[in-house]
Amino acid sequence: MSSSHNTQSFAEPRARGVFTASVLSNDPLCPEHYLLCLGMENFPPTHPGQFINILCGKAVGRADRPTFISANEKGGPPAQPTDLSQPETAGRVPLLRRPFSLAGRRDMPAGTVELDILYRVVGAGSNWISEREIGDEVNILGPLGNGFETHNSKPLAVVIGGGTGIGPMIYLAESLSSADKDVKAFVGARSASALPLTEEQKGFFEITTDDGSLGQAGMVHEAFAQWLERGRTAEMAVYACGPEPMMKAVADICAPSGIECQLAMERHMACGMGVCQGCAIKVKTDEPPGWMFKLACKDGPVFNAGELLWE
Amino acid sequence: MIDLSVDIAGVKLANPLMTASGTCGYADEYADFVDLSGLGAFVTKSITPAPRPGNDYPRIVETRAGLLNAIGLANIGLEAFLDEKVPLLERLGVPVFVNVAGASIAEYVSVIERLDHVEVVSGVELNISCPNVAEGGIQFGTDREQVAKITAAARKACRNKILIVKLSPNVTDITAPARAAVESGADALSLVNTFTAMVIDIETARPVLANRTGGLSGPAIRPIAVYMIHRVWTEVAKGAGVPIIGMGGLQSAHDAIEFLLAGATGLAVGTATFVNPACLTEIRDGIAEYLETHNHSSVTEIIGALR
Repeated sequence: MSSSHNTQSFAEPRARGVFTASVLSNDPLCPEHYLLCLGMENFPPTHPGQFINILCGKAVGRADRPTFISANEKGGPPAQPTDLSQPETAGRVPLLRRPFSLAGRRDMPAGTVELDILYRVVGAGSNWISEREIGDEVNILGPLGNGFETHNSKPLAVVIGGGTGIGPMIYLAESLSSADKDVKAFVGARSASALPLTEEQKGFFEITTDDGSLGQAGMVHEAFAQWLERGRTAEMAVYACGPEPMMKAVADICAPSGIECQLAMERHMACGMGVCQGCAIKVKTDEPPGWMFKLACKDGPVFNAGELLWE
Repeated sequence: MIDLSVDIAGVKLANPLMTASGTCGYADEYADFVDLSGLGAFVTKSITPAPRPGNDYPRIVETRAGLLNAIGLANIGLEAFLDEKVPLLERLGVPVFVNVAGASIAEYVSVIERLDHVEVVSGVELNISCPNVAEGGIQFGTDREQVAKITAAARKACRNKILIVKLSPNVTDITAPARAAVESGADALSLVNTFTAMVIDIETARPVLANRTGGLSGPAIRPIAVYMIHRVWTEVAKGAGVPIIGMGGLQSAHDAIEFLLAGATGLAVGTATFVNPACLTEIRDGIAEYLETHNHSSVTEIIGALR
């Protein structure tokens, strides 16, 4: 199948679009997470916190009849759902694209771009991605959403990631470090075996695990709170991504001290471009009724913690 | 040279492809992804008199061959639409159909009366088929007397634009509301809107959507849409000279040709554009390829040509 229909023409560079990438590597980082590395001839500028939408299967719109192709095109056993969290689409190639936060970006000397995606296999889409091999083509749409706002005068950046939310925080920590910012980074996972970091990255982060199998035992927000209590007084901005209870806990720790806190939120989304309006998120407003919906894909996924109405 | 142009009740379209209301915002959202000037027409998201925040989250859930949505007609309201979006639509260069919704006939009429004087608007699409709001929407679309009443009221307000009535498939006999709309002054019919549906989370024993039910779209509904278009075309629309804008799970040129053969003159694509916004123009090009290989010179030759 030719990829020319979907490949962006670079004669007129656009801020975002549909691109064809090839798989450079796709390896398990731990029993739960994979690191996918995609290579492209070019890609628009990106910021940590932004995401791309991956087409897990065949494109629609062509003259040939779209069929729901086997999740494993290479003749292996049919894809098996890893759990029942998405029973409706389990074991099939999904209709919609799947959103993934960028976990890293490298602009190579030849002008090519490499993007990292850290993912967990939870359903049909991520299962399809886990079966991609080196050299396979992947159709991506992006970059989407707004990244973390890091242009501030705060001398210290605190980066907090939990679970699969660690991905964008690796990208953010690397990007801040290379901009010579002072970075303090925390990550948390259920256990050592569920921590999606390379050996090299592990040295950069304060690690907590729920079961104490690596680093400090406990939750990542507790480690952050303890570090704050030990007397950090430098002005700081806090950036977090992870399960919603963890992000709420981080926001609650920051709020009393007036610490700036930005959170990358997760919502189910159909399009990622701001048209389907599925990824509604409630934010506070001054005018009655005191709240409004924003869209995680277009207005977020990064929000100021003080803006959010937790439910 | 293949002629893809079609005529929707006097509005000339360069080709049959258009966006399905509610899946394409107000055009600016898709600007980076698809050249909308290559469409036959652009159909906006529903406009109501006042802004609507829409339903609570979760609003969408994917199924094996489709998508349930319960957005709840979230929109910026008529005034913001006129101030902020109409200037953008003026630059599109294709006919614009504005989808209109309301909680009462008076609300529909109040929006139409304003749109009737907006130059860039070629037509009004009456949304009497939204399954996801408590008031208005589908309640007007499933009862033939209600369809007749609201279509007649809209017809009076819609003097300078064509009036398209968007039908709900959530009825026993789709030809009944179709006939009521045509007899009450509709210039064109859009069908089908989404099918009311439900997905249940078996762990919580609750519906997945906050609205409990949603409208099913996507490839799952396509064969039903094809059937309903065929029935309305042969039993109501063809004889009355009223064109049909077909929609419902269309995602390829193959699907588009099915719709055309069944009797659709216009083709609206919704859910598939979430996956590939450029599928609109790809489908357009695929139709031309089909016509060429099947020795047709014009798309109108296959409209309703089902044997």
